[in-house]
Amino acid sequence: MKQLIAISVLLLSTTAFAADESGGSRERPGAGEKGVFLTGKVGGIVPFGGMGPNVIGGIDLGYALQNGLAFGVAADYAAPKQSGTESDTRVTGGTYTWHLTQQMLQVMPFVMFRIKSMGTLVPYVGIGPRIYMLQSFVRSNEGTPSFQETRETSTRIGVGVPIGLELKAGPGAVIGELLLQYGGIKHLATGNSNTGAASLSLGYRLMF
Amino acid sequence: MRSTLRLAVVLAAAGAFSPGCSEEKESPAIASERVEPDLACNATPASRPFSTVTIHGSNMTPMPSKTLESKRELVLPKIELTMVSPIPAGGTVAAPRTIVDDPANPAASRVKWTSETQMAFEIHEADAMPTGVMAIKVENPDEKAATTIAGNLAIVPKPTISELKPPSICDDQSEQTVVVNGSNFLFFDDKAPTVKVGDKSYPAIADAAACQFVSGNFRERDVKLCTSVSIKIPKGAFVVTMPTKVAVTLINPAPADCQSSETIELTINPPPKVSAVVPSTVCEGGSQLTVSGEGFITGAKVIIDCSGKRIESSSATVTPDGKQVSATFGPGATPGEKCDVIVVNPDGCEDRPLPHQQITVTAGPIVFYADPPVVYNGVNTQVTLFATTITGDPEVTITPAGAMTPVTTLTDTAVTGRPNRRQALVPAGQSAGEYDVRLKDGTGCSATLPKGIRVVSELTVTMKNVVPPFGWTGDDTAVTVFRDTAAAAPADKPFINGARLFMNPSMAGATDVAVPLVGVSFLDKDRLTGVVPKGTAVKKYDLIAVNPDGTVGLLKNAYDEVTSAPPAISTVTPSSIVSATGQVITVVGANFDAGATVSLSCVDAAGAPVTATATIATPTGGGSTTRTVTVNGSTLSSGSVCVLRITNPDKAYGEYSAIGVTNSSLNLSTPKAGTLMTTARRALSAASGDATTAQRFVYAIGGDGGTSTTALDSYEFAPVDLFGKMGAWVTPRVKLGSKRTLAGAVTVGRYIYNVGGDDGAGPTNTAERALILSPLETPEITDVDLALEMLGLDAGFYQYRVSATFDAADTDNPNGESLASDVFAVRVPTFTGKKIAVTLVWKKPVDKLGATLPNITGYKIYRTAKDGAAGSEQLLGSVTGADTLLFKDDGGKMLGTDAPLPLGSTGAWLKLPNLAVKRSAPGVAWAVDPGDPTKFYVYAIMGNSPTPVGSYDFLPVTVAANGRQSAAAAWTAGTTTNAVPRSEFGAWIVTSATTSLVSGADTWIYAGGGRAGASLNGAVDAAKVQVGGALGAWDTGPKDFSADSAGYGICSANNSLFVFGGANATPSGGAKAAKFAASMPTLIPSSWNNEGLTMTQSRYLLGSAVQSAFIFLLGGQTGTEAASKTTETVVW
Repeated sequence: MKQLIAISVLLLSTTAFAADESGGSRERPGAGEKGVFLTGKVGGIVPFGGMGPNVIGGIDLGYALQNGLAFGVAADYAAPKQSGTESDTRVTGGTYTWHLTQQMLQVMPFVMFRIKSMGTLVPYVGIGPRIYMLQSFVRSNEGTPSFQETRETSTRIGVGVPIGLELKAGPGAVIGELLLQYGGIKHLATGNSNTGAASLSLGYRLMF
Repeated sequence: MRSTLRLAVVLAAAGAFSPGCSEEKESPAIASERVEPDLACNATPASRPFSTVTIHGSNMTPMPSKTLESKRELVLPKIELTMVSPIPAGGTVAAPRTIVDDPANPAASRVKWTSETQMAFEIHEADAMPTGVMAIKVENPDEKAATTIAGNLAIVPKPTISELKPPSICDDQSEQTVVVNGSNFLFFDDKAPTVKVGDKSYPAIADAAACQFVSGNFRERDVKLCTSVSIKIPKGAFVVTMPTKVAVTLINPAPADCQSSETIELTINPPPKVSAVVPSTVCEGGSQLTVSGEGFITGAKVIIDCSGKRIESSSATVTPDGKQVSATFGPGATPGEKCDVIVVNPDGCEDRPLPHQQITVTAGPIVFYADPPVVYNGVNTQVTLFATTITGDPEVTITPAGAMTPVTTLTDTAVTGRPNRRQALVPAGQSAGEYDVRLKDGTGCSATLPKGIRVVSELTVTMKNVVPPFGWTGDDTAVTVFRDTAAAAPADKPFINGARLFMNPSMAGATDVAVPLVGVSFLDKDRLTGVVPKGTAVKKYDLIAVNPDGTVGLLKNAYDEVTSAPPAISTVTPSSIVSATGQVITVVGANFDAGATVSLSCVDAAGAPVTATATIATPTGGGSTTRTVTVNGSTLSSGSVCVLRITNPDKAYGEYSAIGVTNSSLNLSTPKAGTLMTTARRALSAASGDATTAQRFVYAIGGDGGTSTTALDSYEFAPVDLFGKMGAWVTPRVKLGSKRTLAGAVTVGRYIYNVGGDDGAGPTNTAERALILSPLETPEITDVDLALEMLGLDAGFYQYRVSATFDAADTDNPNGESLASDVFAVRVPTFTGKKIAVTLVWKKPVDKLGATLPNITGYKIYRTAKDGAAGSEQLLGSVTGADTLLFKDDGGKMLGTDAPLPLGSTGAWLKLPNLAVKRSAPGVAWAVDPGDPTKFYVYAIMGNSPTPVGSYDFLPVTVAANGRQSAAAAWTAGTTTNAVPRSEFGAWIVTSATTSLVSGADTWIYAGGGRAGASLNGAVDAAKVQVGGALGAWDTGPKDFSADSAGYGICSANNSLFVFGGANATPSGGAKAAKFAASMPTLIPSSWNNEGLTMTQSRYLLGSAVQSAFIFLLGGQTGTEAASKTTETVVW
């Protein structure tokens, strides 16, 4: 946790330093030329580690510099699930079912570069360490035998790469963003797997 | 900007490969309730491949794992067993054991899960689960939620069988009980193990003593593991025609139903079969039978069943092929009966088919004792066999007890005058062990005495010497046997009361005869006395001692029986010498050969040996009766005591006990305390006397408890050894004729005369005497007859003694009883269905000349209880008539409380004629008629009547050749009167043994000072005994006491008269002495000097007696007691 705090402070410091490099004015590109931005988004996520597709939603809060660089923190949440049936001679009946819910709250400080030279369209790409706060719930699935849920929690750090496009609309911009993320997970419930996923979200970004 | 981007990329990459931070799991809270079952086995159960233990609880939640991997696993709650206490108890507490559970390999897992409320684990033998009472911990996968059930599960080991008892059975005729020994036999509630015998199962019955409870929180009650159980196999469960082995396993009750795996087999035997019995007859005294057939098992016994009376073989030997059994029977069958011969195998089966073979019983001898019953195999030993009857020339054999071989034939000889006895020689080198003794006589019958002789290879009693080590065949020889107290273990066992002594001819040959000593008496653990009987064959003997407990001693070449009479010493004058050179003494006796030598054996006052030399001044002078001896006493100190020995050239010797040693002033030795009397006595009479020459005693007679009104009618005695050491006092049941105190006593031969005194009511004119009983004058049990009857004794060891009783007219023992005979032992054999009536036969007691004692009225028979120790004999019964010389003991008489009279006892006291006048506290003395050595006189001199009188009476007594004394019909009143009538005075007897100043057979009687009415008077006077017994006139020439005394002890010896205590008629501890002047009866002017000794007690009205060099001072009033039990000894 201390490691995460240190990284966040460092990124914010870097962001503040970059803000001093912002330039002069022209037609507002995307959500804006520079300033504090707030983004809300929702979409779908396709995990690569074995869990099923799920909904993902999140918000970004950052500051865009005049020179195209932007800094911010993104928070996303998703809860992919998985279930199955297995054979095990130790269990009465020889089989059991299981159901896994993998709750993931992700926080990612990021740095992003916005290409403002395309007018109302502002493509951007970013990168940042992704902090996964994981919570696995595993229990029996429907039918017998049934057993209660066991909860398992952990925190992991991964990486996220947002790639998006701002399209000026109203006071802000509509965005479409493809987020590529990757992180490890090693719960007893999950086994040795990862949180790698691709998510595609739509949202709206305001810049002040 | 570029650097900012680079930093962002680095941080993102670092996050992608970071291991992450914290992890945490949380399962539902778990709880447990119970396990089922509570008992399990750690091996494979009989009914299933493994044991399963189910755990009941809640929230026992498994956890799917690796759900995102290709191979998913289910993590079950973990089960861990922690040992609370090991089984078996005392074992090692094993480390906690987690039940094997590998989610990746469920097939190998021992854990099973049914639901969140129920899971289980399996116990497989291959897991080698430790055994014990376990606590069970169940822990959910989060490794935090756990629950424990404490002590609810006992994992027990499988049972093991180590042995079966018996290992073989025969169930043909009866239910059989088989004990199964081993371990881990489980019992609980009403559940018990099952024992499978072949294809049959039997419930096990616990041996409660071999079980141990298992503690735990079990639903089952009384859970215990046993090491021994039994089963009952019903009659006829197994039908076999030949020995058949069947496997035996034990299965514990479910759920811990493991079974033993050892290869243990029970042999099922068919019953034995008898085809022939040889011979077809048996003898009543015992016999041997050879039984042929098949199926006989080692350990089989043979029983003769005579109309329901069953006689079991004392031994039986089965041939290896089981087709023949040789059996030996002791006595028990009744002649004329036809009896079944039954073979009983050790498995309990009797021979079949019926009927049994039969034999006929014929008459024959019965052997009932072998004497000695224990022999040492280092020498040839003659053993006397006692039988009921012996016909013709018998054959005597011995075989190890219970065996038929090897047979040792003993050379046996007849016992002269004892047709029912044989002496048999047990040869040296015979192997140690117990032996059955068989005697086969002319009738062809064999009598067997099972375990009749025990041969030992180790001597456990060590004897030092026999004194004397020889004896004359012409007379009885009293001997003392000393144990070697320095002997090392294991040969350091002491003598025990009841020990037997045997003279066994050295290098005994077939015709040699062993001689049992008679009158054997136990003095203490180191000394025995006995008498070698007259007529013992002249030869050299080994001495064998056999204690009642079977310990044995052997002293080789211990004793010589000789043809010539050994020296005998009657007197030594003086009997005391000074501790200086050139002490001359005169030894008078008999059988002194020319060339006889003299020697001394001395001890000092402390009992330590001291060397002193002596020579015979005139080796051949004095003929065969007298020797003048010069003693070098310079090496001796005052208080030493010497036993003088005259040794003939043939090494035979005679001894005299004892010569005392004084200092140059002739002072007496320092008094030494003796043993305590059983009764405190004042004004008692004291005497000393011998039962035999080796058995000496000192007597305390009558007296009172402090005043004459408490006069006593009891007496007591203590043994005294050669060196004057006093033993424990014994009060016999014989009483005085009346209460008597303030009397006077003398001992003449074996008779004690007790004269005058006070009977508690005042002075008396009565007198009495008693004979010291001799162990040689007793009945002799010569024979015994055993008869089979319905009434009789149980089998066992009995010891008999017989005493004679005498009528009122007997002058030696009126209405009295003799000492009892030597012990006669009878080992009554077992007679099934009948008992033994024992008939004792004895001979009348005879005197030393061989004449039957007169006036016998009958006999008393004493016997031990069954297997009682020697010395514990009690009155069994009595018979009337001198010629009734047998007694039948049919077991119907109860033992009484009276015991035989102890050695040292006197016969009943004979009332003598009354004195002419009553005399209390008289002087009493005796003297041989100077003209007739066969006569002597007992004198009663002066005394209170009730005031002092100066007269005297004397009683003539005649001595017969056999030593018997006949008193005259009346006392004779003396014609002379003492001028100073007095009482409580001493009357000294002075002869040539006292001082050489007295010539020939003369005797002087000195009267000391005493109480003259209300005052004391120190007058000392003397009178000489005249032919016919009258005293001459009292000569007042002897010097009077320089200080008054009364009630004192006296001794006349060593040319002196001594007075002990009684100064001023009060308790005092000093002594004074007078010496004879040149002419009798005068005393030297310095007489009555203080002797310079201090008695151990101040005494007044004490008893005093002299035996050789020893002065015994008994009881009296002391400085602290009105009457005392204390005694002391002074050597003069």
